[in-house]
Amino acid sequence: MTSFTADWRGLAALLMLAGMPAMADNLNSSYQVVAAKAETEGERERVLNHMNAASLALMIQDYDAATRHLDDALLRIEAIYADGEKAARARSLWYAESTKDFRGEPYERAMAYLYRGLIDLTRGEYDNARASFKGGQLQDAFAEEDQNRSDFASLLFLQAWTLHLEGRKQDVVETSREYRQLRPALPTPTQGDNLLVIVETGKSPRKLADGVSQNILVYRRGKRFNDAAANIDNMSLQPVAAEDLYYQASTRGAGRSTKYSTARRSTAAAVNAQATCWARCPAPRKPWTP
Amino acid sequence: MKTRIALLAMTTVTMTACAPMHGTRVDDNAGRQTAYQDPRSQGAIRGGVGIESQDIVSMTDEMMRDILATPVLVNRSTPAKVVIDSSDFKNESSARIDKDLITNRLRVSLNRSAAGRMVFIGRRNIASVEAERELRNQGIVDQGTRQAAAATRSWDFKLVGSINSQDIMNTAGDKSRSIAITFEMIDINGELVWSGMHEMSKVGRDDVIYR
Repeated sequence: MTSFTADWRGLAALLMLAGMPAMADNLNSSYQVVAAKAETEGERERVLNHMNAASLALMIQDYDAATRHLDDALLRIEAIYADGEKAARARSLWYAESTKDFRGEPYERAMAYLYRGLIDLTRGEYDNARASFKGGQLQDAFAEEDQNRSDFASLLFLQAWTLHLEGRKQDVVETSREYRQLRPALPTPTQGDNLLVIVETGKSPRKLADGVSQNILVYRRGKRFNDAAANIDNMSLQPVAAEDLYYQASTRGAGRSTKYSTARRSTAAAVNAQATCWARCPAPRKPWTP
Repeated sequence: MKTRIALLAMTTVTMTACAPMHGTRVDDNAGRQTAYQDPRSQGAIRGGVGIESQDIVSMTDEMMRDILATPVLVNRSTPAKVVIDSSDFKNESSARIDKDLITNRLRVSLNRSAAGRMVFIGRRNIASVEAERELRNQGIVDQGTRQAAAATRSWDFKLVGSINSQDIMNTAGDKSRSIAITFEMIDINGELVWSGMHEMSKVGRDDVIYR
């Protein structure tokens, strides 16, 4: 069985294609700036800064750095924010959203887990990869609208993939069954599959302040990108759309706090993908339409 | 003149509004001197609902005592050869963890406390052992002071186990995680000669603003 590692180079290349196509030369210096910012800017934006730094580190294929940044962000995402002075201040009606530490919306947190899991996957740490994907699913479950809880199917697929790589056939069947309930038309890992190509395209959903008092957080699709095609080493890929991050963001609703606090400024989300596509080779399947 | 003042005011407002977006703020909070804390008790910084250092210490101590009280493992005429390694310890939970933190502490604690009643095999270092044996066999290095056995040691017992978790959240925003860490000693015939389990459950709730 071929290690997942073989896919990572392609993933990184595609991340570059999807994120900042003409800026490859500048990515390194951009990373240096953002990484420095993450260390010096303090706690309030620490998670956001480390997520952004991790995205850039992935693009320049510095996976050790990406690991450090994601771990830093996830440490705070997993923490329970209670009893602190900041929490008390942020709870007050008389303080703006800006007093609140950024922890990301559920889809942003879920993506942080997804990327961390992918790094584990490339290193052959399948159980920790699976733990990350499960962790991402939990963040998705913490979302507000009950009917959309835990429908981040990509995380489920990736759990099935880690089980597939471990040769745990029965567990693959059970996880795939769960996955098919969310994505009935999409392929699941089957015997003999030894390559998974993940194509990310588009940009992250945009978060905007809306309403008379700018106190409602709304999402809009990312814009100003032009993804033409994906091609790895002249392999013919027929990716299927597996996830739509805008859908994940917009069906979550904002945290209930936004109802009475000033919405935070529009901010570049840490994730760079609008949609995630799987491509198994050879596995041409009918595309799934979200 | 009025226009100029208005423009100046607008510029100031715009710059003020933009400053946090484009500038780099520097956290000027005072630092804190490093301080030691007891890994056996809850630290000053509390995390989420995952496994913390005091959990690792307490669970490995508990397992160590239990293993040392198991006759089939420690009351043998020839000390049992045991492998305790994270490779057979599966993390099935929803939290990443360095499994070596658990297996290393258990192995070291047992090795020190068993006082020869159990012998531990360093299977992770087998490549290094085999390489040195080969050098000895070829006469490139001397035979050292420790007699090499005819073959590298096999194990009699091996620790296997898993970390499993169940996460629950209610409508009030309480997050709960129950974690069960299973330890089992399997022999070369596949029989489980000893089993132990450590369970813990944690609950917490984010302040309303973070939910």
